[in-house]
Amino acid sequence: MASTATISSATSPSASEASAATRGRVRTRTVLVFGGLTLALVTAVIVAAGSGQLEVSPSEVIGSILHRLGIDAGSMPSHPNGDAVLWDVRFPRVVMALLVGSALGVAGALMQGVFGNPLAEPAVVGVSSGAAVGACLVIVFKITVLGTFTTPVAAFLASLLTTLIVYGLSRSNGRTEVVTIVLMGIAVNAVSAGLIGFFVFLGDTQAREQIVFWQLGSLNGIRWQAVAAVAPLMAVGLAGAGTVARRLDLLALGERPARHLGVNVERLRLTTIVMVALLVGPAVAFAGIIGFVGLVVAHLLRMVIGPSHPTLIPASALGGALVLLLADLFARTAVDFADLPIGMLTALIGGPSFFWLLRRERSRAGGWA
Amino acid sequence: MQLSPPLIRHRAHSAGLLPVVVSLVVSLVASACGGGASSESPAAQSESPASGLATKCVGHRTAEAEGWVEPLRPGPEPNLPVTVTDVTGQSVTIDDASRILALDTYGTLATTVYALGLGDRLVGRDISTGVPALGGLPVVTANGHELQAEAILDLDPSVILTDYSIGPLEVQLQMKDAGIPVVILDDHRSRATIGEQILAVAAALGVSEAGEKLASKVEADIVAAEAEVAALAEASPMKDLRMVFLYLRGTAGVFYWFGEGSGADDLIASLGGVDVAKQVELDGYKPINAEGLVKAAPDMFLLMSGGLESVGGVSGLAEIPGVAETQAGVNECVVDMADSQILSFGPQYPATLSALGRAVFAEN
Amino acid sequence: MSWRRVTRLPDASAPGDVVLSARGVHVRFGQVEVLAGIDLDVRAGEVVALVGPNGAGKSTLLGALSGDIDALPGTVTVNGTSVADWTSLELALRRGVLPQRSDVSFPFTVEQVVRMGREPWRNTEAEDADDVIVAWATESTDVVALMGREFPSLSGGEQARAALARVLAQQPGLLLLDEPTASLDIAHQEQVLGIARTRAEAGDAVVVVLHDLGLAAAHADRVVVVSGGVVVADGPPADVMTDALLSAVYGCAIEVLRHPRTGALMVLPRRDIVDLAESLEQRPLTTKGAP
Repeated sequence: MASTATISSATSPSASEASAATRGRVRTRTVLVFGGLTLALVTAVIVAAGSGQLEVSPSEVIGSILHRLGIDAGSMPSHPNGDAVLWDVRFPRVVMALLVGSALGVAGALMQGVFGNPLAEPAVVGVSSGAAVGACLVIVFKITVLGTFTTPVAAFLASLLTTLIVYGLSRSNGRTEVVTIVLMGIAVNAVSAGLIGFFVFLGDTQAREQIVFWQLGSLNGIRWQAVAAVAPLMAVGLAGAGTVARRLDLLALGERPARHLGVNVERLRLTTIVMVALLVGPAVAFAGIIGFVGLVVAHLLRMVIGPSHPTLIPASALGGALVLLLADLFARTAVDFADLPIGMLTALIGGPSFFWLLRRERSRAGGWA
Repeated sequence: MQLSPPLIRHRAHSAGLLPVVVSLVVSLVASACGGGASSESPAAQSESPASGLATKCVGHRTAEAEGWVEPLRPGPEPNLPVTVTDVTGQSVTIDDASRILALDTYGTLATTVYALGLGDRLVGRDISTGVPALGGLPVVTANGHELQAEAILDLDPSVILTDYSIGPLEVQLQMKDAGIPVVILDDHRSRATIGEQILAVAAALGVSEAGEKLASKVEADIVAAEAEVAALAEASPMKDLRMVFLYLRGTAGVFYWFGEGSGADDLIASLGGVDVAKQVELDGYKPINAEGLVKAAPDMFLLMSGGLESVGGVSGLAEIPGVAETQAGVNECVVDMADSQILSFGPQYPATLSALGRAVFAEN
Repeated sequence: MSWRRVTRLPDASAPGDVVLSARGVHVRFGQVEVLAGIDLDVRAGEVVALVGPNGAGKSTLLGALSGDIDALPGTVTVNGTSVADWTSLELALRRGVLPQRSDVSFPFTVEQVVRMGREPWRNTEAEDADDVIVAWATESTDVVALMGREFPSLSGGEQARAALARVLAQQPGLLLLDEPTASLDIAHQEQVLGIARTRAEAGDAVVVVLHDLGLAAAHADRVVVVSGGVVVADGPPADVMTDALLSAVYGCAIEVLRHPRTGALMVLPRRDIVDLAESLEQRPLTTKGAP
């Protein structure tokens, strides 16, 4: 339809050169970031697999892995429980840290994209505590209809509901103001805290211990069963995040412009919210409320590689996994015989970052109404 | 003109609320007056339910047990392997009791192992285990009552005795995954379960005979201690002491009172006291409600020494809402005992009981 | 890709074909009827300017034409098919909309924003020409130098041009532009409306909401005057833009002059007349200009 003749005649080398140069810069930076993150992640996995309160030397770790693969090479752990610790305690925990970290990182990027606001994050907005309410319900009333999947599925449904509520209430004209989102988070967290408190009151000692334990967030006690229970849901969430990425870019133009570019905005929003719930629900069900990972990781990466979701989302998965793996490594090795709550660690780092972002956003928006 | 509609609505509104307010006020008055006696001072309130003849309990005392439970000598030799069915219904086979971990919130399990004469086989302890001879063992619950799987497995235990009073449950399951025999025992603690608990621990360690010996010895000691306490109560001018057990962690803002089924009820019964928590039908562990505490009108507080310390001693205790308005608070009638002893329904219970009895009925 | 089979790609329109057609368009905001039955046809190859006083319903009309506001009752057809029967992607291939204000939530670069205009063409043959089209769109709107800048950091006028570049890159046969000149300097105003003309000459249909009557007179093939939610005049600028009609519509004495040298229409307020009634007496009101 539009005449190609007019177009090509109007093209001068300067425009394509300028665009090629910018794109080249962004691409180089993106390659560097992905390479760096992957390298750091691989290193961190090796370090994490080789560190713990029960000492197993790196060569013994490799020996144990080779042994399980059917290769009788390298030395097996010398400690009588070394092999058991690696396979029953440490490895499932490392895998869970990777899963939960990438889920939270991606959930942060998705929520920021769909809210059109860099401060949106599962824990800040209250989606995590909503998921916790679902999990508490299952724990206190000892519901086991879906076996090991009961808690993650309940947490998924509860976080889906919470996300829908938050999303429905905090947007106006397709955008969410900073103040609205923060206030909405306060309200949702308050209601969730109330419900959790009520469940704690109703629950027996064991349920109470369990609830108190993961309100602070921890990967202590993660077994393969837990990994198997969350992995399918998170896999769907991560894959789904990839499919909405391009359209989230268009959503940054606003709802109407996105629609004029062929995006079915309602469907995109709903899909994204379901993905967020699929990622956050299972993560919360087993690891508790771990805040700020989604917020900080996605935000920092956006500053480095730009806001484009097709690169931001996979980068956030890597970044989130890296951050959580390191935080958990610290949590489980810092104090002898103790396991620090990981949510406390991420809050200590994430809280100030959140504060900094708030100030930045405020100065950028020229004050809050 | 413009004012009238809201005015009318306002009237209608307050008319609707009035009955509620009235009934609230009535109930408040009723509860504040207790038995209906007109009370001028808070101290006077609690006198009406208590016996008018009784001498008041005044002052703070600390109960100290005279020595810890004596282990069986010589220590028994475990007869292994042994297969037991634990409280979850799973059967567990133990073939090595050379490296034992016994972990619970109360410290009862490790104390029982020690009393059975197997203390030298323990490779670690929980934070509540107060047996001085076990003090040198590594504490595996440094983080409150939370277990860390790697640290525990690093101690290479050959058998783990534990219960649901400690967690997380997943870590106990992880230890099972790692191939360690994990025996989950009943986590109820009361006067009635002491013997069963000893027998269960002994059975899991292949020393059933020693278990029976210890159980009957402890039972005999308990009977003796109860008789001693009863005699003290008889001789004391204080009658029908209204007692309540407070669980305090001032630094964490935790102020609980313990009711039926908490173990504190058994303790109070053995001491011959009137369990006010039972009177107000308090079940389990509940945060202190100031008005409820005043209404319950205790004459004496039973406390963990650590709990008392955490609120800043007896003077700090008075700052907890409700405390100063009770007879116990006014008279500072407080009995405290080491955290690891006061609620530990194990082999040391006789010692705990007689020490508490002596403290409770001490001369003012 | 399965959607490639279902998605109907646009056919080229011949000059004079009706690209956009509105019939009986009503819009209500609560109790207020903002549009009270509007009929409008826009043909390939013409620039149609929507003018009218503040609150007349110009932007609402553009919103109804772009599907941002529901027209109830009323129908809007694009390329002969009701908008309800196109998917949003199919509409995106045919209709481009430039909003009054362009906000971008994240620091996307101008180039990224312009490239978003190519998104509807993904997985079609036209995708191969993306680079050429983006380069053309950015050059026509004079934003080449801003390519690497972050969109939110641009001035209002720069943002307006970059947003226009995005709509141009979309290459729709129908362009709906809501006050594209509002924040632009005089040179860029001319440039933007020049682009509108060029697009029309290339066979597109262009609807543009304008406040500046002089710009409308100079660049539009047709001027549609909206007032009180109805079309009060629709025709070539010279027929529609009369002293009487504009004065009546705007409630202010206005005169339309011819430039002494070029003969182009100039629209000026008559600052020498304070009383509108007096001015209307002097030049009797003429009714709706013939299309």
